[in-house]
Amino acid sequence: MKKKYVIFRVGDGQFGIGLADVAKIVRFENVTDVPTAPPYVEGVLNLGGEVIPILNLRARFSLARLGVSRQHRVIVVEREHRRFGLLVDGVRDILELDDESIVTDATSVPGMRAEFVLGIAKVQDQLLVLLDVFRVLAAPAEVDARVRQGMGGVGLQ
Amino acid sequence: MIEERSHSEIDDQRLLRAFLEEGEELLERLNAALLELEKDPGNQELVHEIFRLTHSLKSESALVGFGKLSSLAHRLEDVFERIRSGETAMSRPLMDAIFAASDLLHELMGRISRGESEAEVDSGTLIAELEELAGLEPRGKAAVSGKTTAGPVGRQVLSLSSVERFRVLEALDRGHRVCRASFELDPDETMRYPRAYLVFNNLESVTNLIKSAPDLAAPVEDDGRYGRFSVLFTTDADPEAVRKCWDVDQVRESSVEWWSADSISGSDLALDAGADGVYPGAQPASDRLRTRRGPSGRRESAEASRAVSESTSVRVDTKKLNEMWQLVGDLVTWKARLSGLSDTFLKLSEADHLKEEVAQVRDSLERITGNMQQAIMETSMVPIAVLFNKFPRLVRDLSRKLGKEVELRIDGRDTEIDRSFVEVLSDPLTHIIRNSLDHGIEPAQERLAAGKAAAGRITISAQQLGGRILIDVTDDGRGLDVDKIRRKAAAPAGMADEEVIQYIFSPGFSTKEDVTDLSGRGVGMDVVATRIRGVLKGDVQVKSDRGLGTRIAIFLPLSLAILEALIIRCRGCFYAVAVRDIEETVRVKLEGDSRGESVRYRDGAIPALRLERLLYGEPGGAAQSAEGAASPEGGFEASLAQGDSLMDASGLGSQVEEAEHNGVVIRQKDKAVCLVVDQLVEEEDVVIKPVSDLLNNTGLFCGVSVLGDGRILFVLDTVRLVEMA
Repeated sequence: MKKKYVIFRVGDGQFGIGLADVAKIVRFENVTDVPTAPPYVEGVLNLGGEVIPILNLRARFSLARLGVSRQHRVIVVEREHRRFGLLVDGVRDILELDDESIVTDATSVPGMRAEFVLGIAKVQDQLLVLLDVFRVLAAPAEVDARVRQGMGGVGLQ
Repeated sequence: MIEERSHSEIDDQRLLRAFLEEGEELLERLNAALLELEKDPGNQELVHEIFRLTHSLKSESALVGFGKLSSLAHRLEDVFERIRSGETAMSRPLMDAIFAASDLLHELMGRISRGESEAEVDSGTLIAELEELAGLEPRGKAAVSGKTTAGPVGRQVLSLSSVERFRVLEALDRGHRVCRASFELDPDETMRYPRAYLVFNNLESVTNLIKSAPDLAAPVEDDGRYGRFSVLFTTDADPEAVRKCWDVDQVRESSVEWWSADSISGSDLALDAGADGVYPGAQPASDRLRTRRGPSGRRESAEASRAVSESTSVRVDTKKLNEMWQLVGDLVTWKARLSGLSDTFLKLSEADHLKEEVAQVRDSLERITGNMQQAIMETSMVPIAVLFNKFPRLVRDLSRKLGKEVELRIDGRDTEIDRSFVEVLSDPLTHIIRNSLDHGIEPAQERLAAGKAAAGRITISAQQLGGRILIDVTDDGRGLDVDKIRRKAAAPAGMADEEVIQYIFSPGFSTKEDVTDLSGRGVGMDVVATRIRGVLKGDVQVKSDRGLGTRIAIFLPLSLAILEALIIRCRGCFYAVAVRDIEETVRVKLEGDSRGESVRYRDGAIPALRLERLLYGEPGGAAQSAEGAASPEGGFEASLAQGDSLMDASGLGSQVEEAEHNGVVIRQKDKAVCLVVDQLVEEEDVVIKPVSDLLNNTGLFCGVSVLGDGRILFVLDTVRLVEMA
């Protein structure tokens, strides 16, 4: 079966999430800071009257944070009527992938927590890590602790 | 009983939905009024109201073709007609029969909403009982099926949609008259549709045609369907001129009726099930007209104003409302974009004539959007009375069944809650009240022996408290059986009673032992707690004193509630404090050491809380503050503007600081704190939405809100603030 994926960049890595989970892709603009939120929450965004938390995937993947550039995008994902924004370094493409071209034995991604990963696909000689977004949202607190203590920085490759 | 269902097919589903919504509300109000009447049997105003409710119910149900419901409501109407005129006196057995009828109406309504047939329900026995008790002439089937003037079976029913109804009311308001006319065509006529259409066409050119049945504007169907047709129109033209419209060969007028605002009345238009032409809402129409015309109206003003509120309130599907919210939200966002663009345009453009117009359009758009947001905001809230009003009946029935005497008191009916809460709260509250009655309140003898009044007392109250809504159910019964709960929950030895009783909310706590016919129904307090904590993001607590009673307190977030808020600013971000909890805003100097700062206030000192520290942590401290400094904009600006930098060391050491700060004195009951903020911005009504746990690590916020210009602000939980100090 074929499914569509939104392909985006975080650090040096290429990632994909199912298009079906994506509600919108917007620029990183007019974001309100939330001082009391955990460090990986970048702030909140007003999307048509709804207040949506934005998660910084760099922080989530324990990468160093960067200033926000013009390429940055917020991918708004939705499940069970709850919406979250994912701050990514750039959105590349929307690709259709065949289930058969996806390797689901994902423990082999260096530096990436296995539970985030749905599978890996190879597109034009580049590795594409397909993510389970909702796992990313609900990761154990230990990651947060590491980030908070400034111990992040484990690269992808 | 004749089951007439030959009404116009077009709006079936919509009509049915509208009927179910309105019908349910009518029944609820009927129930409440009956309970009142039972306490105050001589109250003519109540009798009149009940008469009107049964009347509406009758017409509404006839409209969608529910004969049984309609005829039962009709009989009730007749009963109250007689009570009103003094022909029949109210008696206990009659009251009981009336309550039974009200229950049966409920049951019928339930069946209809589940798509089941009315046919299996026997209403005949009850109707006979009502007739006998009220001294009514028994009605035959023919009578029940209504004033069928000429009506052979199968006549078209003209059912009006709300828009059509509105158009009729509007025309009456303007002083126009309403006419319903039915026609027959010669049975041998083979060109029925063209002739009927001719009449239709003529009428359309001189009158405002509201409706025709069969629908003559629709594409032609089988010609045979047009052997009879009816029209409803409004007009200010001379009736004779109008009459010419149906001066068409082979078309014979079978009935023509005219009404004006003064002559119209419920019984004129709202006929029984099966009769031709049923016009719901006719009664409100006339009421509304009389009210509008002020003192010359024939009815008393109080009654008239009630009629107004009746005819102007409708139920709205929560989903629809949420959709509207969403749309208005989008609108506001785009309006903000457009405002920004037009500002740029005004700065850059040299086309002066355009500039003025653009500014005008922008201003109008802003005003309209603002009004619209306000209007929808108000629509989302309902007084909690909507929920509470069904409890008197519940308590009445249960206390009778249990042979206990109970007084019910309801406070805070006007407390506004989010519409969507009503449905979710209904079952839990019902369960709590059942429990109180079943387990809490003792039988009269036991109460007397314990030195209490024979009648137990249950109080339900609602109030807005800080950023939350508190709903309380209190009884003066025997209290919870702490020992039993202790055993069942296997509570650790030495645990205080107050803690032990909270176990009733633990998942799976209630067992079969608790499940009686009354409070059982398969749900226990654990389910109540799950629903309140899980679905509503609220909390529930219990207090109980052995022998003195039990109190269950439900705390709810305001959710979509509107809050009159003071908007404050800290490091470029905006926050809100409930105005109702603010004693005053002051300029203050901070005193004391950094651990416990305070300010002088009214001959004393109260604790001071620096908002900046609550949000960003202690100066120079945790990673959190570095995090905050990375905010997109405004951090510096705000500190500079207020001369209140993070690194200001004067807060340390035991001394009085020189700089003056903006302070907001917040009070909860006896305790006041001073919240020190960068800047006070303005007061505004804001809509509060629940805040995601993800954003609320510290529990400082009780909600989040989006302002008209798209800015996001967090609402500070005043209860929590005061607790913290």
